[in-house]
Amino acid sequence: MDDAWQLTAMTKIEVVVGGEESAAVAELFAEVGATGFTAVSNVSGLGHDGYHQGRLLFNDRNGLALLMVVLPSDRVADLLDGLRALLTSRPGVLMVSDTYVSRPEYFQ
Amino acid sequence: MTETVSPTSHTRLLVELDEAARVIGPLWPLGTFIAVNPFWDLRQLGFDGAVSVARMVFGVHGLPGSDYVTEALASGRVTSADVVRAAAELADGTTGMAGISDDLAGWSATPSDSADDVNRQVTKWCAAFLAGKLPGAPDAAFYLSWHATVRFDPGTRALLGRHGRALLADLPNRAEDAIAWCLDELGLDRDGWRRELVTQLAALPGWAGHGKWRSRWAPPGAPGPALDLVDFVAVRLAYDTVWRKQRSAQSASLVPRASIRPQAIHDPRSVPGLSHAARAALATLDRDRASSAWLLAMEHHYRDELLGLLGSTVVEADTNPDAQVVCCIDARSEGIRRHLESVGNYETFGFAGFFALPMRYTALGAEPVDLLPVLLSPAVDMEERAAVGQEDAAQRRLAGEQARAQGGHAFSQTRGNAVAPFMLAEAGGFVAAPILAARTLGPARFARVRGRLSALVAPTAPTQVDADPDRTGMPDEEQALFAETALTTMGLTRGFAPFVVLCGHGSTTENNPHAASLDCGACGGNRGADSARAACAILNRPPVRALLSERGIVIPDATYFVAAEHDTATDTFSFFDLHLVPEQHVGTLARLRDDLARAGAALAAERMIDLDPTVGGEAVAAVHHRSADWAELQPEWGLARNASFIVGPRTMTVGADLQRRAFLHSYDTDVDPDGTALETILTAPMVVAHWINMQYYFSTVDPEVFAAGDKTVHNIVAGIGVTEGAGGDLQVGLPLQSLFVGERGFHEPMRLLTVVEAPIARIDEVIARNPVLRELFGGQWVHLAARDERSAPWMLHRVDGSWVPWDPQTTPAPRNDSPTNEQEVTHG
Repeated sequence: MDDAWQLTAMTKIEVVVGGEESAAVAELFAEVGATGFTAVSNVSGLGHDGYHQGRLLFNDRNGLALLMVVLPSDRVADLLDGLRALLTSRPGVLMVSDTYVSRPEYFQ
Repeated sequence: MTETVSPTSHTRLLVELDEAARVIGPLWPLGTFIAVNPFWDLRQLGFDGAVSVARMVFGVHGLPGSDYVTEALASGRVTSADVVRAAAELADGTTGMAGISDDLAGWSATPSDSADDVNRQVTKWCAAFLAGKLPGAPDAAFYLSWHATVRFDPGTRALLGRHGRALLADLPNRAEDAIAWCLDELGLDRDGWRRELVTQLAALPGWAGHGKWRSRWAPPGAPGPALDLVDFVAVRLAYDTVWRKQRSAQSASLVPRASIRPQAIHDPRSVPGLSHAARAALATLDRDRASSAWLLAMEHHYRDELLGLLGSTVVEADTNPDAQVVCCIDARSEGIRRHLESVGNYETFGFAGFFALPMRYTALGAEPVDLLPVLLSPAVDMEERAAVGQEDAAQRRLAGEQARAQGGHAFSQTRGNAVAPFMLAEAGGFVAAPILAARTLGPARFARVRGRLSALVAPTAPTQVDADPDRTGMPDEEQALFAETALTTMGLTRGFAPFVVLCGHGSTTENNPHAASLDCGACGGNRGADSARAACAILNRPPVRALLSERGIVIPDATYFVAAEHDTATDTFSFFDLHLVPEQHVGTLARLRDDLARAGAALAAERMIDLDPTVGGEAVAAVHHRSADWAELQPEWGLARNASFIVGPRTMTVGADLQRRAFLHSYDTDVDPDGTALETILTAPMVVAHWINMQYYFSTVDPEVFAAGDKTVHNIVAGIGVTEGAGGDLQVGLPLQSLFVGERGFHEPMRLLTVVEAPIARIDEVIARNPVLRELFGGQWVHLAARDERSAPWMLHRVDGSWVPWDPQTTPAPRNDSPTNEQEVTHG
């Protein structure tokens, strides 16, 4: 990353879970001090359980949801511990990647 | 003591708690009370697996008891032949258990002495917190409020002594830390956490259920004190830990609220009246499977009767009805649809009562309210406004309503004061006494007088729901998409009558904490009129119709949509926004109102047979009396005896008396080639119907745990829930008077039967791509029968996903006992 951009390194965690698990995931985000996150309900895509069409019109909870949070790296381990425990008993996908943000104070 | 545990443990701990909380159902506040499947979060285990967990955790039976099946056999609702077939079906079956049931396998609730004492303390704090009586309310967290106050509490000292109280006061400041400390003090490793957390939740499933609603279902930022699940468990576990440490009691402290009832223990294989063949068939099963066989037998009996009623003849719908009436899928609508069709040239439809509009709605001068199924989040904000030119009248109405509200508030405040009630009695007693007497002796007349007085204080003013794209933020294109979805899903895309009524529903009752349970579940436990008004406002807009026309749905210019509401307590109908109705429709509307009044009177007479068969020809007056009577325990039967969910055109069911037991969802396979509408129907309205069905089921088979107890001793706690008597756990489920007549069950506990008329290949595709449907049908939470088309044979869906032809074994009973529609009863 070009230093001229003055970006700050962070970690991005994305979770795809059943819509009704969204509140539990958001609770874990809050537990490690995340001050914000992004959630998209009724997402579609192909997984090992087949194709999820994301087209439930009157039901936000039984489709899949994508939740995304960006954190300083020192808080990631705590969150991952909880998310991995959550995903031992429920279907879902967890993705962790390095990312950069321009306003790090938003993510402290 | 005050050291904190690693945050790593916190996140793991929260997940453990979330997993443990699968054993309890969320409990909605009274104002938006809805029926839920108390084991919705265990649905992955299948019905049998969830019942197994319920037995371990709550000590319940989970199946109809022998007393019930004995009565069902005697009354012909099940036969020995049904039992033989069901027993044979179960002989090969297996019960799948996984997940949390593995963790709990072999474990059962262990009674000890602490539960009552601990519960008394914890419920006291919960109620005080929700009533805003603790420091920091309503913004502070429950655990923090309790923690700041407990050091001064004499009740805690009486239970735990000074030292024990000091231990609680010295707990960490974070609920998660307190839980972790307690689990450590109890010597539990992580493998033991879950059972302990389940124990804590199951000890008070009502308050825990409220916490689960707040933590998992309430909209973010919902107003009022937030008693969440973590805080609740922290407080209960803290008391329990200190109590057990003091007494060196290491066992779990759960006292099951119900021990397995004697009648359930009574051997279901030796029910009086069974044939030898049925006894022999049941003898091959263990007791639990024999109980399951009885349930299955009753369900098959109902299924065979129902499918026998649904004819195989193709009946063309009348192409020129005077009006089309779209009612909610609620089982109570079946009655009014049947009677309305018999008194005039009307076509009726069934559709979820929020009319596909997931709306946050603000009535004139009121706070916003979410009018939508709880499976959805609001997607649009709409408001009620004064009609054009009626702004002054609306202002007068608002001023009157505010004055009335202030008067009520002052009266409530006065009653809450220590001395003022005596002065109030002196000053106002001479007025209040006659009012009380009138309200008690002539409730219906009192209600009419009160209504007139209310209209004097706050005169009605014409209003309308504003559908302007600029003000709603809902552009024409989006409104057209909503309209297309609604019309396509209900199968009303052509052949529009000049007049289309969207008819919501609500129930007018007095002194009824569970009133919301009688309102519209698809509107989140609210009345349905405003959803109907909003949908009509959109469907009448010319820009929306122009866009619909481009999409192939041509609504004639002469067609007008009007909103109405069915009061299910009185079977009367209100129409809305009549000042907007074009002149050419006035005559049709007047005829329709007359016919609805006749149909409502006939339905009232039909319903009174169940409520009070001695009333006879006074049925209309009787339902009004029940609606207005503040001492009435059974104003209506609500959704009791619900049993099926039928998806198909009305021609499939028209003429059949389904006895208000069927949720009817209209569906036209021809306008849904890709199955989108069918998928919507099965994944949302059917799920809501299943919740209702399971709420009634568990409330009936195990009322000690899953019903809300006796209405006559209910006390309302902070407007959130009810307790039986002065305190204790919040009561979950439905009141006994909504389920039983004395000791006899009125509701017939059966799992929902879904009946679909649509290509089976399409149904399979929809099931395959929706895990929730695989869980419901594969787990035997819901039975499924279907046929490709009217002339095709019925097929039954099996647990493994295959289909077998329906083989009727019983002859449908004649259904000619419904009242005629010719009664000369003046309605309203």
